[in-house]
Amino acid sequence: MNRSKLLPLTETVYTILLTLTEPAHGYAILQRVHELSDGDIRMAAGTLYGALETLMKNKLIQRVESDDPRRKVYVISDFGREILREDTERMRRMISLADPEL
Amino acid sequence: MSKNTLTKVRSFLDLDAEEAWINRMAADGWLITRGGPIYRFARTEPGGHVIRLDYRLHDRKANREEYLQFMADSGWRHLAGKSKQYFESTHPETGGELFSDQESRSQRYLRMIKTFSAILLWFVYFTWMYGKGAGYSVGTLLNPRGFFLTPGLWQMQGFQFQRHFYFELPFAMMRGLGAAIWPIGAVILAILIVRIALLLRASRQAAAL
Repeated sequence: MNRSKLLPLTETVYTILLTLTEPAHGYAILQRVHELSDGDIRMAAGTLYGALETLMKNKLIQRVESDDPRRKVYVISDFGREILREDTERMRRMISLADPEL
Repeated sequence: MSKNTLTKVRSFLDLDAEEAWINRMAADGWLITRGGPIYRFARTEPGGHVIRLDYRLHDRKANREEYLQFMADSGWRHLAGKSKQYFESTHPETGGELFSDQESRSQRYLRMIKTFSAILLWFVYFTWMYGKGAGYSVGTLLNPRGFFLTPGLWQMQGFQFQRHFYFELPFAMMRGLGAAIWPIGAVILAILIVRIALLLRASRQAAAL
């Protein structure tokens, strides 16, 4: 997938990628998103499920073997990590542009 | 003696309108146990129910089970549905919403369009293929004599004609019915797809506000 089409990441996708630097199954991702944002971001189940499908399709995340076939476990891929880093850089640049003005 | 189940026939494309109706039924004490168009409801405690709709068709049973497990883990009990899915919130942690942004809500219509389009392709294919090799086709509807396959039928006279005509009539009508079903179905599906596309657009415009 052309990376220019993936960037910038939506807040939902950015947060999911961040939580998936450690492997997790669906519900664990929801909980981590909640903890990570101190309760600011509350991601709904249907939204996460759709986002995971898209992330798998674009190869930003990958499946990890798990003992429980009813709970798929995901982790960020190398490509996903690259994209996450690139988007973080992009935001850092934006913030450094904004800081002197505000 | 009051009844414990209820059957209602309704047809919805608009997921928000359907969701509102299903929730009104639950508020009146009827919980959905089977999706449309022939809905079934079972008696429940009136009020306090939050039901939300998703639209997803899974290609494999394992994927569907994984989906339902994830929803259950997240506080959503599956009530009914194989493609249009009805969930009840079982935990305040869900916040009572299945989607936390408008785009993911809207994408339900996108998945609906994909499913309906796949079915439409089959109807187009059968419209194309119908009767191939048997000497008639969907186009024969414009000249229905073509559905009769008795050799020389239309040159016969009097009783001989009647005997052969009425003998073959039921078969010819079946062929004609078969020929009509595919193009009519294709047109109906095309109309439904356009209507869902309009719902998708309206749903995305609601996000822009």
